[in-house]
Amino acid sequence: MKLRVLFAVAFAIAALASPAAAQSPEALRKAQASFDQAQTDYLQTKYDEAAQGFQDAYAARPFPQFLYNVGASFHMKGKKTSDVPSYTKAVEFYRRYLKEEPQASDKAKVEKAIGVLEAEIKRLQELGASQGSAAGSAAPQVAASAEVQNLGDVKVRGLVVIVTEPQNATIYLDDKKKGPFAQTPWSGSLEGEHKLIIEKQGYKPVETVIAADPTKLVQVISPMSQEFHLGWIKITSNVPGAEIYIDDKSVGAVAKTPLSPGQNIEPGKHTIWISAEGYDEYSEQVEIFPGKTKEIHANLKGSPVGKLVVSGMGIEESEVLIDGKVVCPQGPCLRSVPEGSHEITVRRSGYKTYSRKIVITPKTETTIRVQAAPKPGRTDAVVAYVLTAAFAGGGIYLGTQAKGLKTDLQSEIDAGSPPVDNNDPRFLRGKIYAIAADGCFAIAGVTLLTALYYTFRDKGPASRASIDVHAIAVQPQIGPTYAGLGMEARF
Amino acid sequence: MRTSLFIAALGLLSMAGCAWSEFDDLADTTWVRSTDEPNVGSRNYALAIVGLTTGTSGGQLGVVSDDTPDYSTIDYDNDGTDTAGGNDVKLGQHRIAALTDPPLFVTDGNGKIAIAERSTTGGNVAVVFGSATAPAGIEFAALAPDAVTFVGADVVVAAGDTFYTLQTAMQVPCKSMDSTFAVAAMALDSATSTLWVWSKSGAFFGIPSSALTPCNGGMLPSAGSTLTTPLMPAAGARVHIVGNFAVLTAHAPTSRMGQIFVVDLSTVAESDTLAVEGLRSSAVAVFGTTTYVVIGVPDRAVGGVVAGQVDLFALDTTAGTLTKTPALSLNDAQAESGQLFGRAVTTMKFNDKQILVIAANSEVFAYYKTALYDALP
Repeated sequence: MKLRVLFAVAFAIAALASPAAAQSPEALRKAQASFDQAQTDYLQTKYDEAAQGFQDAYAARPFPQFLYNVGASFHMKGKKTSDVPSYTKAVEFYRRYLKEEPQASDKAKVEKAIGVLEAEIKRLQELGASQGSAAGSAAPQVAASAEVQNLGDVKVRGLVVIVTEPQNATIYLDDKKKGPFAQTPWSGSLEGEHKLIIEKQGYKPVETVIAADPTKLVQVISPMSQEFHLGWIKITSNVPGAEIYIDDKSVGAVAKTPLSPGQNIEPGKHTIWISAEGYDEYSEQVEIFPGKTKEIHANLKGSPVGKLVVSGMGIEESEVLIDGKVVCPQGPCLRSVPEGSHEITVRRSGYKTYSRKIVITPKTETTIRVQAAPKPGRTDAVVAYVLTAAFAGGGIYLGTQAKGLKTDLQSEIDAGSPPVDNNDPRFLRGKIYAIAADGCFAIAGVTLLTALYYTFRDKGPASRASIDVHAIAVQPQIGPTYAGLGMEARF
Repeated sequence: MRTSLFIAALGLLSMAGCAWSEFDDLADTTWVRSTDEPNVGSRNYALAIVGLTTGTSGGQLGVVSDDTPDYSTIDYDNDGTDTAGGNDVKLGQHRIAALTDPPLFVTDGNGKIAIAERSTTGGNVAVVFGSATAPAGIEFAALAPDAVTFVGADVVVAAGDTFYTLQTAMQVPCKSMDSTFAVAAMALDSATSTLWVWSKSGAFFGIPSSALTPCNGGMLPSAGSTLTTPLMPAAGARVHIVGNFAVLTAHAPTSRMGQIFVVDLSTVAESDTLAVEGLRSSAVAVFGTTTYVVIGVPDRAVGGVVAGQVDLFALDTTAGTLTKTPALSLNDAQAESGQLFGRAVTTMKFNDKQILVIAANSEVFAYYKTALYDALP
């Protein structure tokens, strides 16, 4: 099974974000109208009109994407007519687009297009000069070069614009757990349907759903009404991405650190938990007052961790211990383990215990696939113990008999009535008892040693395991208001 | 962990172990030396025993055994160690083919013994003498002996109404005064040179020993004072001379009745008598200053087991009386049924001290110490 966990999905999208100019709704509507008309003209290959429409939209709302669309219109006109001025304008607007959007995700692609078009301009100029000097008449239309053809048809771009009144509200995309997406005003590219959560201190949160079309200009204009009875909480921690729980851990994390600029919260007493793998959980009880902001900074203590995965046949019936403590009553077991040496033990009823000391390295994933070996029967040991007990018991009985005979003989010899002779059969009997007792004890000793050997010997193959250690992918994670590292692990 | 368990196990074993050699050590501290039947070719060992004369060190016991009639000795070192089967003489080589219980077995106290094959139809007498390491024997045949004793160096055999003086390669008969006369037991009183005879009819009287050394072939002189005991002695009757007294022991021919008679030899009158049921053997021993009459009762039950017992009755050698209860009773500490403990008794010099020796079936017990004496080496 291959599971991909993407910790940072907002990176590329956020990179496209840029603040929209603070202009009136009238300007937005004008830009919208011009964009829609230009879009229609572009689809009807009226590239001059389309270019003018996008320029009008830009004049109303200077979104860089509009400049790109102007360049695209001239690009397509030049391709259609092999018109050098059109290519020149396309290059000009592409450059302006990159100038206003220096971190554009398609920067390389646009730069490539600029290079191809400049080469095409040069080629067309050289071709026009030679044909003009040769015929002294207007140059016939020339087909676009293969490089231009390879660039394909250029599609104009849609745009999502989110503005609020007042501005500087925090935008969450789909889920607050992902952290803040951007702040209003915002414009950029989005695809598909998304849930927008917009919050601002002192205002009621706004939630709406947008269906972003890459070819359309989508505007979200949201006036926010004031909310005076809510409080506000801001949470930061020394560990970016730590999960934030409020009041009830069972409902899961409500956000991740840093929770800044913050979020609304009902006034009153609340319990805040902040936790991150490998760190001790931080908790604090706070009291929120209406209209006030409570700031919490959690200094999480802990150490770097590595991932430990314990799996294998029958692991669901196994108990996993780390350093003698049960961490998984049933497998499979996935745990973050502080770096360092740890004793890993896997116990399964009826099977030999697997135990091994391994060193956990931070940012690695150690997979232990346990192959437990059945415990061999101890019948031989039991038989040996029974024999030991039997012989020891026999030895004790015989020894007691011998001792009794000796005592009797000694007392009778001392008493002398009747005198005991040296060939009294009890001497022989006592010797036989004593020798037999010693023999029994000797055999008991041998069987005891045998039993101990049978008890402690490691009969049969031991439980084994294959251990696989590989590094966990670590990527920089940057959000509008935070930066950190994201990990991707495969299982 | 394992090493600790092993050490603990070995420790337990060493604590639990028994030293069987302790029994050997303990056996060496006993007061009685038991000698089992040696390999002398006999399955009825120690049918009769007689203490032999030795020097001041150790002791020697003459043993007559049956099945294959055999004479042998048990030699005791001065430390009490016994060696059985020494000086072995096969009596079959001296005309004694079978021995009847009890055989006649006497010694002269000077290294000579006489063994008689008791028979009503005819028997033989073997006389064994010579050095202890080279015994030799001669035999005298067809005498049907009833009693045997030494008169000086001569062996006197009573057979029916005739006495024979056995000398080297010669046997001289002397006829009794009564043709119906038959001797049950006899003993020589060397102090008065009188041969005291106890007839099977109960008559007890003396004969001057000079009449028998040697027999002149004629009639014996008439008996003097005669005491007739109420008990007619059966085979195995014994006469012991103790100073001025004779101790007569016998059992009835057809019952377990047995009796001891003490006879004042000066008056030939009974001074005391004591009935001992089951009496089969007797001896007289002196321990310290006390004389004891030793009576073997081999079929007496001891602790419910018919194993046999020996009683020692103190004899007042002045008054001629016996204590009525035994001064000491001896039996095997591990009595066994049919053991016949006490079927023969005798005294023996051991390290120049007198000790008691008791025969049982195929076993001989030498008592170095009892409650009456201590002759432990």
